Amino acid sequence: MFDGRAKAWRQGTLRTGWSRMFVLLPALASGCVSDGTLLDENSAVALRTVRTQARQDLSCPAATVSIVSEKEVPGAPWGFLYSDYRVRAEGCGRSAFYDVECRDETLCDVKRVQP
Amino acid sequence: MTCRRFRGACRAVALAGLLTAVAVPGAADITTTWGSWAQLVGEGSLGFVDSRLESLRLWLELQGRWNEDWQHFYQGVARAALGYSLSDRATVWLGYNFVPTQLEGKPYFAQQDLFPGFRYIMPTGFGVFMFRTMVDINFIRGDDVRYRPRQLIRYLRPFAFDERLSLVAWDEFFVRVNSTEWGGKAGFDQNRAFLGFGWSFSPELRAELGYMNQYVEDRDLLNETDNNLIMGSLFVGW
Repeated sequence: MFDGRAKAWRQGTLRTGWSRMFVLLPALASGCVSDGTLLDENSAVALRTVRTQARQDLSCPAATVSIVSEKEVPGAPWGFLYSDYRVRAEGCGRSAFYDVECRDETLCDVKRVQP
Repeated sequence: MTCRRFRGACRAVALAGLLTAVAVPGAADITTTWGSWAQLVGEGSLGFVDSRLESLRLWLELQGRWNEDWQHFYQGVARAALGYSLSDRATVWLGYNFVPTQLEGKPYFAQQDLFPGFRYIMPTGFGVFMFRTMVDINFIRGDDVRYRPRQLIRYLRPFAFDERLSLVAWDEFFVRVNSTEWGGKAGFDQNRAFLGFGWSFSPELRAELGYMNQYVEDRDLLNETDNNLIMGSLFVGW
């Protein structure tokens, strides 16, 4: 759920002409954007969001972050796609893992998880 | 030419003429009504049953429909479909609808449908588009089967001032491929256009409310019904 409103989020057989359109429209659409694009676009904000939190959690201003795994996840039906990342943070001899779910470059949710 | 001198006005007149031609194909009677539709849509992966089923998806839906100025509950829809995710964005579906109907002054009947479908979700920098193609195979009475493809194009855009609130607009049109006794003549069947707002309670829960215009052709393609509908939806993902 949206904890504390949007706070956490902000952190982050057919032969007719008609039938041809039915077939072509999704086919054209599916060729427009590759699945990797959304993940690439949102990765920067995901890393930035985790970096901020990890530096606090690890008490380490020099903590670095890296993506361990990533995938696209559909949310509620007929709605948005989310980019889901597992991110590792390390620094000052400590490490932590985070799950980050981003809808777009302005809306990410971060949770610290066990490795 | 006059149109060269008044190009803007000519374009407006031409556009109005075109729109009129589309909206009123002949000297048909158009009946206008008011009502509401409500729907509950749930969808998610079957991965929670077994991780090997992660690519399989289940779509469950219930609808209630009122007409006659909200005085008459005339139709329900129960839908279940099984999907396979070709990718995170593309899903193929095979489903079943049960549509009990009781129109005012007419006998009750229950339509059953089978449908193959395809859905593609396309996020862009200015909103999310969804394309859904379905071919309804309508079993209305007996074995006189009607084939009715339908195409939905949907747009969803969150507002900058509150990311939980979004603009929702979609259009879906239906075409009758074949003529049947109960399902009418082949040709245009109906168009549904929606404009409203969505509210995301969480990534998995979203509500939508808005106005839907349903423009329906009768069985003989002579007269039309223009339904003005308040439509409310609740979408649940898992």
